[in-house]
Amino acid sequence: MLDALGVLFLSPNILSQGLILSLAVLGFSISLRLLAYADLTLEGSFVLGGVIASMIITKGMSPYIALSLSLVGGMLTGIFTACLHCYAKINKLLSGIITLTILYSVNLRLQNGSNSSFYNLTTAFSDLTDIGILTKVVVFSLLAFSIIATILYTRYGLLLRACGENVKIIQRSGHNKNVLIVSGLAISNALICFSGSLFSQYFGFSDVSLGNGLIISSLTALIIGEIIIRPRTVITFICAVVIGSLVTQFIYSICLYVNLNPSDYKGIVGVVLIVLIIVRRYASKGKDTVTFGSEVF
Amino acid sequence: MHRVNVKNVALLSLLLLLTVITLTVVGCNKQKKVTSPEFVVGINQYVQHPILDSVFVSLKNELAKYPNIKLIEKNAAGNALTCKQINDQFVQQKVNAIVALGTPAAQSAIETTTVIPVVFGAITDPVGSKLADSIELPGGNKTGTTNRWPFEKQVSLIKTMLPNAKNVGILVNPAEANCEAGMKIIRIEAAKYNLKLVEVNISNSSEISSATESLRKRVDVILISPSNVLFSGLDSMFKVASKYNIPVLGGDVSSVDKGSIATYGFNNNDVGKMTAEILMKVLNSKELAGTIPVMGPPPSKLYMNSDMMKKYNLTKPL
Amino acid sequence: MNNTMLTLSNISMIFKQSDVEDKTVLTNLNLDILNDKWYYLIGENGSGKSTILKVIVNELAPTVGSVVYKQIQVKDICFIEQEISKNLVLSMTVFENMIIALSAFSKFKNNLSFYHRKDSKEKCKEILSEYEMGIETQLNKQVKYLSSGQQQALVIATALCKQPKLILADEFTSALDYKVAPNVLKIMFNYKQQTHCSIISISHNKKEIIESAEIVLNLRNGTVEIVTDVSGCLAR
Repeated sequence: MLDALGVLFLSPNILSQGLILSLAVLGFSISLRLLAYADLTLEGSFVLGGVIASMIITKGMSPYIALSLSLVGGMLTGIFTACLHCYAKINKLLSGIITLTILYSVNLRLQNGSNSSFYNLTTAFSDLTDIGILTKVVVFSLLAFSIIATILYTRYGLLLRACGENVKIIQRSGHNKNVLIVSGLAISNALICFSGSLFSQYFGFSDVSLGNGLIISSLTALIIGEIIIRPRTVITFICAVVIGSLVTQFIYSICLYVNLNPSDYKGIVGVVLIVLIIVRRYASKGKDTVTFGSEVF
Repeated sequence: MHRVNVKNVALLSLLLLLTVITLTVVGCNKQKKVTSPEFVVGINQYVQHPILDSVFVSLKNELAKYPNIKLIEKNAAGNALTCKQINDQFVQQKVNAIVALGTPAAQSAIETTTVIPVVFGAITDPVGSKLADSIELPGGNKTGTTNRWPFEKQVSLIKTMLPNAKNVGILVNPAEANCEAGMKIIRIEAAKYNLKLVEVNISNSSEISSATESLRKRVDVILISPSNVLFSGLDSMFKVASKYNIPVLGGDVSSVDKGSIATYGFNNNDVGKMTAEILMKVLNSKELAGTIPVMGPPPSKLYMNSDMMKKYNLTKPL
Repeated sequence: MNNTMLTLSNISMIFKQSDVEDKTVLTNLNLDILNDKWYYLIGENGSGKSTILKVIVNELAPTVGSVVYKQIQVKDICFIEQEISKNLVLSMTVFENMIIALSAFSKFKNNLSFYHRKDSKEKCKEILSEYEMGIETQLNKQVKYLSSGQQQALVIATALCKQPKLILADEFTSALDYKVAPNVLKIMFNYKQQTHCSIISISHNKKEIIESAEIVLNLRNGTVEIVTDVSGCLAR
């Protein structure tokens, strides 16, 4: 049994899945921790990534075009959500839910149905071994992580980080908070959509239900990562996100391996999240539950 | 300065370890020990759903006749990521065949392996969802069964039972692949009989009641579409339909007990048996799975609800 | 003589409240703020001292009347709030807080450069060492782990590095202990000497007011009057 667990943990597939999902978790964390914006658009823009992949790939075009278009698509959804909040003055949570609802219809229209298979079509991961796929995923994610780290280490990134915790400072320093929120959500959703596009190409199909439950599992991953590495800098923050996602995937695959009753899954995830939040409070002795950025959840 | 907090890691790993141990103990008790199985078959069911469940149970009962087959049963609880992980584990465990129930489970299975035979079960449209190149020659390592309803016969039933009907109401969930696949055929068939389809979209079962309400005075009869969402909320549709005296036709066999006047259908157990049959063919054959034609659907019979027939003064069609 | 920085003309402020009577805070207030003066605002709690500051910095719109900016613009005014947490980003480091202040009103193009640079670090060190509170050695420490005296010194530092022409300080010495407060006041005084800016402070500290104030304004019944006998007024 332990032998089997060891094999599972080292399996390149789990690492690939964890890394691809960590991009979405990072996008979610940027809006949640840096902008203090609980952006529920996540589940919609993730699916949008897969839908864009299906539109491009089934037309026989290069999967890399699909990946770059997914960045654009994600940015647009982020901008839309942020504009709802900044200019139409809609509450943050509600603005995300509205975009999510609209995206549901948009995704169905764009994909022409709920499900689209890439079988025998060229995806970014066609004709690769498991290790080959993992290498490619590592390259993509390293690229994305370094771009995000670069952005966050500029003065703009600094203002972005300040925006969630203390908007007044930003405004009194003569910066436009709306520009920061809109661009911040554009970046975070671009990442999420990119992750969705990679994810569906890795799976070999795109389905409108791919995003189901992503908010809760991203939050779980983020909190696990934050408990393990108490991040205080941009770099450690990104590490926390990656490690959190990998650990979450590992736990999922153990649950599967031991054949838990499927109808219990959601209950288990909920209980785990409660336990984690209590552990977080205990481990931080009541102060500093979140060490980097603002604590929305 | 940014060091890993040792205490938290210890706490978390303790927690993890406890989870792993509990789960392992629970899991080990569940797995039955089979003496020297010749074949290991992994079954990946996409989601718990009455139709898939009954296919699964009858498949399992059928396979119980063969002591040399060991089953690994998994359910993805409707999550595509879980589907993929289950299939990954099957590949690692070097199973002899994967049985995938439900379209997403099957799609992820054929993406995961091109070597291990994949037998899909209870798929409405294997060709449309790219699981099979064609019904006769699925190709590659994949074959299976389809449980496509006899839509042609169900539409023609409208004409034979209610010859005066002109407008046919139907609740459709465009987000479901199998529903869309069925609708393609239904639209063609309805046009053949000069029936006008009034399609109302639903996206979850709470909308069924008001969607049915909206059909009032616009339609003469309601046809049941092959939507899973509709399936789980059929009762609310029958309730509204009988309030306004709109006859309902079609659906699967169980819909007739609930309030559908009549339908052409088959028992889902037959699909399970067929899936078992094709699985045995695949396991015993030396040829590639893709050379075995897709089986099904099983032959359909006419099922009728006598109470409903009486209510609308209908007689059994000849 | 044209020595007026800004004028509050005929300002009234009425807070509308749904369930109780409307609360009138300021009534027909007229006031000229002159260059190179250190004002102190005194008055009872709830008399509207903070409201005046917020009106001046254009964060609250008066119900009647207007603020006329004569020799300065809004961006030349720096507002230090009473609570330290509102003036800083607590989860960021000292250095990062300084950079945010230094990049105030900078062009967008400048914001695309990296902020971890040696010259900006040196500059921050230089600014902070003036305060003699040891903050300059803790550039990479998160602000929330500083003592409250150090935090307040950092607040002043971030305020002064924006080169304001008018500083509004709402009880900024109340968080400081008696050893540190004179030091911080001295820095403010030096800054005023160098730049000839004006300062409007709110305080309840008699000693501080007597030492630093050039003009003391007493806020009573919605209007201000200039106090000549400071100690007499405060004794009441």
